[in-house]
Amino acid sequence: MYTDKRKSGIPLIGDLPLGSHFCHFYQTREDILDIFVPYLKAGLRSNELCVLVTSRALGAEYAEKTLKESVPRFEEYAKNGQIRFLPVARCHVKKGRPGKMLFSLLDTAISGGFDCLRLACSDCPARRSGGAPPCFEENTVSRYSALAAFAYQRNKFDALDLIEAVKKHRFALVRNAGKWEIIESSEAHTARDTLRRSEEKLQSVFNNMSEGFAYHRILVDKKGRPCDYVFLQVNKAFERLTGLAGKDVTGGKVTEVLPGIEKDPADWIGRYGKVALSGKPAQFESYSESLKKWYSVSAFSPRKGYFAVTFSDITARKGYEEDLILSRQEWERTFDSVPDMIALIDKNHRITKVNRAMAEQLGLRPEECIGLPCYEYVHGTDGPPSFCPHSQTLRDGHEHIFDLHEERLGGDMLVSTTPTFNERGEVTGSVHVARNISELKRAEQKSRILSETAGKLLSAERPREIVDELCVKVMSYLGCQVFFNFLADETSGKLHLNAYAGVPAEDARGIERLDYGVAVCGCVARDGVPIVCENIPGTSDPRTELLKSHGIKAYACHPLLAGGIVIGTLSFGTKTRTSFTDEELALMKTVADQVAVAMERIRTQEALRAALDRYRSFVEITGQIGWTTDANGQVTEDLPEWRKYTGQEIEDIKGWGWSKALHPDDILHTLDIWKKAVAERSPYETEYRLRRHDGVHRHFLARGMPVSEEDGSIREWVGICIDITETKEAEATLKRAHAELERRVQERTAELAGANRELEEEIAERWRAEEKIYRLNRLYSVLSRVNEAIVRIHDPEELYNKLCRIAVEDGLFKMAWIGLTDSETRLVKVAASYGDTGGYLEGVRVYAADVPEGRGPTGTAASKGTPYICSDIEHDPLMSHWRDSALRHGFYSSAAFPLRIGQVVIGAFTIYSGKTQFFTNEEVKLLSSLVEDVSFAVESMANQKRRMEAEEALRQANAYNRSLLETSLDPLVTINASGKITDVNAATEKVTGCSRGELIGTDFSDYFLQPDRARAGYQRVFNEGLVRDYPLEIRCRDGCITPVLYNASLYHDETGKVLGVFAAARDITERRKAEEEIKKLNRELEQRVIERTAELEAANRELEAFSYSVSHDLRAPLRSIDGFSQALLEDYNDKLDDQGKDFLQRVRAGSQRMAQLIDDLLKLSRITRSGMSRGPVNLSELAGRVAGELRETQPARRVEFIIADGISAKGDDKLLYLALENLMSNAWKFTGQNPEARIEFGIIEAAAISNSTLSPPMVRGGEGGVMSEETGDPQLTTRDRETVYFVRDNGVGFDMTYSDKLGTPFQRLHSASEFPGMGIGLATVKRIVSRHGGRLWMEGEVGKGATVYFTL
Amino acid sequence: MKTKTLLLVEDNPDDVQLTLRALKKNNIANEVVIAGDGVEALDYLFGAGKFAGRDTRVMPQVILLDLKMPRMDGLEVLHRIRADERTRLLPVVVLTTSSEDRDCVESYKLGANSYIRKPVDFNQFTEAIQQLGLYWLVLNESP
Repeated sequence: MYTDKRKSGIPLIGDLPLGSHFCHFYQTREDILDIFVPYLKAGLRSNELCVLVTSRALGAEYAEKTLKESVPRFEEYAKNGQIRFLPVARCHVKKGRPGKMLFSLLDTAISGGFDCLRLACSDCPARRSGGAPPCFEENTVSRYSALAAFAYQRNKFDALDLIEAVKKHRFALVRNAGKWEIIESSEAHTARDTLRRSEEKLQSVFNNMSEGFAYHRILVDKKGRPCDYVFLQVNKAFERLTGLAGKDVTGGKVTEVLPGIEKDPADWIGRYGKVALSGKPAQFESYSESLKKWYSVSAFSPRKGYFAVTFSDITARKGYEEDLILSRQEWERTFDSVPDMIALIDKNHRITKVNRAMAEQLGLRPEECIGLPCYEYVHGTDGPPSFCPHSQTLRDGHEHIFDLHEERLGGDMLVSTTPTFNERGEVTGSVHVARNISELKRAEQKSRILSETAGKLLSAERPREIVDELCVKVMSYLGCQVFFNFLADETSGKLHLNAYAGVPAEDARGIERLDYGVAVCGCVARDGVPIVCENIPGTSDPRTELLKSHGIKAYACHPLLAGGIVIGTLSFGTKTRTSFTDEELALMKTVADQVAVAMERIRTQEALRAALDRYRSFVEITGQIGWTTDANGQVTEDLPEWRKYTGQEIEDIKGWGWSKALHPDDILHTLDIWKKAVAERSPYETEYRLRRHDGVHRHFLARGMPVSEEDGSIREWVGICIDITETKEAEATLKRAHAELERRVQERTAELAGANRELEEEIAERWRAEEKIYRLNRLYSVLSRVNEAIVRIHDPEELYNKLCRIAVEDGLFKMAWIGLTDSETRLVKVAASYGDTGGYLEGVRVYAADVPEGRGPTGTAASKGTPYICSDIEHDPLMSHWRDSALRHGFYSSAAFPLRIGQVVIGAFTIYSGKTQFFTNEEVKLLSSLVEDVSFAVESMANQKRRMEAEEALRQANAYNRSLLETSLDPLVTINASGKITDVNAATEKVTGCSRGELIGTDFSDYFLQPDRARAGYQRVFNEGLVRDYPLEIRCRDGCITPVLYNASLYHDETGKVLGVFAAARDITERRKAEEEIKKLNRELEQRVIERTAELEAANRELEAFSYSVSHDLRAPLRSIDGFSQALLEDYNDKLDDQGKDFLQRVRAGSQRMAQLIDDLLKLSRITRSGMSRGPVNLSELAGRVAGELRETQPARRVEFIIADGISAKGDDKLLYLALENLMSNAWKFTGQNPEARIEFGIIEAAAISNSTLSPPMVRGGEGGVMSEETGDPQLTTRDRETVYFVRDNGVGFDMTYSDKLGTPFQRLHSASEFPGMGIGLATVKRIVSRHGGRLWMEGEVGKGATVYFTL
Repeated sequence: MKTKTLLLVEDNPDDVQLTLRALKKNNIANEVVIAGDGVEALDYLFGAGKFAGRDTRVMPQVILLDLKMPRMDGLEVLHRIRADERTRLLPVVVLTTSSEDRDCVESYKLGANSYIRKPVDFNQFTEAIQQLGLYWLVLNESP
């Protein structure tokens, strides 16, 4: 196919393709020279290395001498080493290495810069003779850039040898009768023919293949290095892809076609040279500086020194790859923008990659971190620390999470390590993610302080104790160095310093007493609102002078409030900062509140204690009221203390009299208790209110004990009364204080509970964040493994399996599968899956179409090309088809991503998770980019596969199709997009008179009478996909025109790319002839119709002239006859006898009757001749008018008219009026003798009646009118039905026997004397009806009346 | 009082005879001028041909005009009469055998004052002449 034609130098042979070998049979030495001299001469002229193998038959000397004489400038060729003589003996080589000499010569040809090698062997022993094999095995030549001619001695060959020898060569030359002839074996002929056809076929494939193809010969410099190459052949795609025209480059050197290519960094010449000279094929992708494009190139060498290149333009793909790189960079940026510190660490604890956050923490640039031992830089240790989670991950291959405090990383960290694996599943390192959780830790600590101190505060005994313990802790937590606690001192009206820290004692003594409104604390105490002083050194404020002197830079003071009263202040100050955060201030307030509560509690307790003290002293001062009674509880002795207290007289207290001093409400109650105690001899104790001598009631506690005699009997009761008023009040106060305290504790507890909840939420948030980190880690790991797989795997199916496996094993998804859409059924078929242990996919049917089974995640991704995330399978309505099965398999959420090849979505990748709401935006983004990577990889594989297949197709020209096409009688042609013929069959050759070789490559439209129409035809195929029965006329070379109908359609390669048009022609010569015949007959018919019409028109005109003259000329004589007859009667009356007068009367009557006849005739003819205007006509109204006119003619007659309402028709109103007038006046006339005459006009609907004009068989008369027998048939459509009009009378009727005579002009069924008339009425009606396209018929019976039916 | 002349344009002598007879029978004694065809009728009206020198100030009271005539037919005559200022207002009654609608329509288009078809029955003809004479010669006032 890659023909590089060389001149043979022998006119009989013409050009020879490279690789040709032929032989000739000689009888004399001159015979050899006769062939070899011109053969070698041509070779020398064509820059070929010419080698003549000399022998006994042709010696070197003689040959050189002859050549010298025949070849001009032979010396020059010889000097350049272009012609060599080789003795035949040197050509025989040992068995097994027959080609050594040939290869050596080929190498010489190439390194010498020659186009090819030309061999002339003057003697070669015939193979059958059993000698050593010749070096130039005929068949081997065909594979290389060489031509070979062999000379055989004719008389050594018998017939069989001859045939055998001929068979081995392309052809042989034999001299017969002094003239050389070519003989060729039939096999060789057939083979060559087949070869030619397949070459042509391949040629068309080449020109239609989408990839560029070019065939070249390499050129080498003196040192044998490739320095240039020559274009030998290129295809159409080459032109398209490079923008170079084939005719411009073919035969040209690349350095001329693309100047500067030798400097292109891609080193095209060097690369191709290697292929051409080594024979090793090469594949690469390179950018061409000259053409400014990226190409994917596949180069191979069909024969040494030559190379063929197939290539495709991948500039767009490269652009896409750049996009991919950009998106990678974007990913990197994302990686860098994650606030968490991420480091990829290998097995040797060396950092392989870090993100920006990590690098910044380490104080390095990201690239500087690579290769550093992590422990050294992260922990500052010489080896991995004991807690190192990375070490653990390396050991067990699992994820590990660890909390640690590391100042180098900025405080408290939550660290996770996720393993990364290599292809063999071995752990190669981990993704190490650290999140700073210092803030969280602080929050925890704060909460702990608060809850701890709350308990202590509530149990503290002394104000100082409270504050000291609490504030030191708080101070350190807040990073403060100073605190002051002042308490209000009610007695002095000042504040006194209760507790402090951070200032020397002597300084503290100076502020032991502080006035309200002095300094910050004094102002806070006075106003009851907190004060926060920030940036104290930079602010001039008299209140902060003292603080400033102690180097305090920020200071916050909160009032201690108890029930709205300021009981003191609590303030904190720092020397290291100039401000506080809101959180710190909030904490201070909380502490102040707690302290206030605790202080209040202590103050209350102190107040209580003071009350008790007072009571004690009161008792001491006042003494107790002692009392005694007898055994029965009666007061019998004086009770001076009682009397003194109550003011009662001695008499008054005797017996139960004492009780009268009690509060009246308490008397009965007290006495009851007293009596009961006395009765039971049990100790007595009660409280009551006792009236003092001044009338004031005070609370008393009364206690008493019986004093027993030795015998056990009661001697007396002794008791005491104690004033407990103060205690009571204190108790009440205490109760109130407790209640208040309880309430505030509850409030505080609620606040703490709130704080705890917040804390819990924070902790939960922290866990969520951690989980997110794990998941992202897993995905990073998946991403890295999939990218490794993409690089390593070249088979889509294997890649799909790997992807699923990685998703499940590394991504820890429950299951993953890849479905590919069947392009016909749209069913998404499982192409790969992993983790489907429960057989979920077996029961699942998914379609990539808008059907219920196509609206789930996979279907949506595969049909719409967008990812679909189902966050909750259980509640997603679109999952209804798969829900039960999915839940049974533990799938709670899923995500599907489209897989593409180019723009086409070919399927989807779906993964399942055991958790709902599993997929976050970040993950979806990562997974999408992952699937895009896979899609791109699969597309690349598909491209690669297509290229291999195209090459395969090239090798396998389909002989079957070829023969099928060849046997077709219809001319078949394939056309490419530019309208060039790419292939034809034999029928085409026949119809055009041109050979295949002539046809191919020429314009399809050239072979037609109307080239423009032909062009429009195939362009329509390109636009619309096909044409049917497109008429064209093929012009044969011999001038014959063949009319054909073309059916043509597009044909595509397997990817659907349009290759060209396949056009089949059908010879319609015969059909055309028949059509012509019909057309001719039609034309004749047309002509005859025109002629006939003209004749008829002439006849009509004549008739018109005739009637005109009749109306004038025929009547005039009649008038004379009548007039003068009358004149005779009048003027000669006396001379005529009666008979004469009678005769004259008859003459007059005759002439008048004739005049009437003439008039009627004219009228009748006028109906036929008059013009017609069709329009809607109300027949009922016309009939009514006729009836009215008839009544006026004979007002005395009694006639009943029954005219149906609303009858209308389409027609000429004047003519229809005339028709009705005639019909109804006939009826009027023939009912003249009936005293109860009735005339009806109406319609009936009847089935359409064909042909019959009179007496239709399906109409019958009856009481209700005439009915169609088929009226009831529901299958009749309106088109089958027609309206039949009728005029019926009950007159004299007629005999149906004569019904066929009715309607003929002047035909009468009654005598004129019986009923006057000319017999013209019905004839007139019939003409009118028939002019409307209708029919007319009658029914009647003598004496019963008549009915005239008509249709319009 | 002017003499009321009647111009009868008729080529058929039978018809002339019968018309005169009908006029006579109806006692119409006005002078009847007879023109044998269209040319003669115009000669009379415009004082030409054998009527040269006639006092053309005297015009007929009514013209009875046949249509089908040799040399010049009645429609042409009517056209000329209506085209000339002198005769434009003269009453013209078309009296013809033709019952063709187009003759009738054409006549009225050209300005005929009346169109009468000659009946074959002489009695009817006499009746028609009577009505015609009564109307055009007695009742009608010329402008």
